[in-house]
Amino acid sequence: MILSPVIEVLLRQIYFTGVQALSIVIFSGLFIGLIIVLQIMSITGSGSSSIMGKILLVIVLKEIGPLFTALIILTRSGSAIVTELATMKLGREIYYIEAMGIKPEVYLIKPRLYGVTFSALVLCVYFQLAALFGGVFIASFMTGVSFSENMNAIFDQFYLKDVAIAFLKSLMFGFTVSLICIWHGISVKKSTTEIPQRTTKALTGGIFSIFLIDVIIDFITKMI
Amino acid sequence: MISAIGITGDLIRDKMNFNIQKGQKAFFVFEEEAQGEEFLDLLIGMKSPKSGELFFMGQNLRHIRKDKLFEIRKKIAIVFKTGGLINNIRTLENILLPALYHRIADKENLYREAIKLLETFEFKGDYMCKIEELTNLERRIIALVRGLLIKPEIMILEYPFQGISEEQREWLLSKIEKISKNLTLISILSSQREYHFFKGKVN
Repeated sequence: MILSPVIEVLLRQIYFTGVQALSIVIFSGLFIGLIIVLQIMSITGSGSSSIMGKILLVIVLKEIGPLFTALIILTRSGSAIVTELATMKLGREIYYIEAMGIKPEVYLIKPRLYGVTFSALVLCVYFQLAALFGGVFIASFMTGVSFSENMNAIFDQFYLKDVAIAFLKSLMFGFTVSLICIWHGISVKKSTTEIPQRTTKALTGGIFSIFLIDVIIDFITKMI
Repeated sequence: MISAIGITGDLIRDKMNFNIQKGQKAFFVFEEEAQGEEFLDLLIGMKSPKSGELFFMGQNLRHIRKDKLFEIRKKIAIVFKTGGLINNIRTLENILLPALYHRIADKENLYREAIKLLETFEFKGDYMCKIEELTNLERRIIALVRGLLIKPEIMILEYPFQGISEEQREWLLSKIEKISKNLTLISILSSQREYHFFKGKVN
């Protein structure tokens, strides 16, 4: 099947960012869930399912889920975007694209921007589900309380507002990370030595932006 | 179709005046490669002339809107000296890229036409091979096929004989001669020798 070139770039970006990172996101989620529950148990003891459920839900759904997913995307796809675009720029490929009457913003930038943003949202959901599952699993194993009882404790604390905040964070993180990486990628001027420098700048800038956006969203939602 | 009145650039210091009509074959000799590159930039509006005016299909490239410029570029096929191919996509994807992007024709028809053109150019390689596996001549063939697929009004050849053998030059020229019958052809060449060689065959 022959697809439109722009759709093809978009699908490739989703495949690379969203599909190929699925295993690392799920495993990270599982381990984070286990760690959080073990830490909660070390503080609160193994008694209360509802407290454990509440803490797990708040930490995973509103904070760790979007944050960790964004960090995984930044280190994995963000660095790839910087390197790919920078190599294209230095190899005059962006010039060739423009010379063919193809707008770089349509062919190169938008598909990466949308692909990463969409993938951030989907991966975040997978991360959260894996973390909750991992957390509930270890909690059931350690406390002897049944899996379904622990799950019910979590569902009792489940609010749509929290889901909306998590989605908003994921979208904002994905968009910002891709924008920063694209900008650094196309900002190289002449030398290949700029590529690792730009990659480093994109990653540090990305990390800083993620935390900043996280704080801003948390602050605003607290005020509402 | 394309006319220039006293254009100069950063590297092109002598004023250039020319008028290229539809279907004409025009040759420009720039012994310095950087000058040839700059001339190509000026022609396709990637760079504004330092002085003078350049008109492309009646539009002054200095004052043209970016959207309009991209519209004009849709009608120009450029065969860059390196081929100007995109490395992160395969050979056939490179060929189809501008034609599909500009929606020149139905996807299946473009695919069939691309295969036919590759056969015309006796391309023996794998259609889905990576760009780095192609030879200099093959890169140029792919660029020619890619250019022809957009049904251009103008074809620009940038140093078409660079990096290929005498024998390959003869062969390439015979192919260019066949495909350029009704096309406005602008060739950027590196020497008078190349010009005489080219002009003798394509006119």
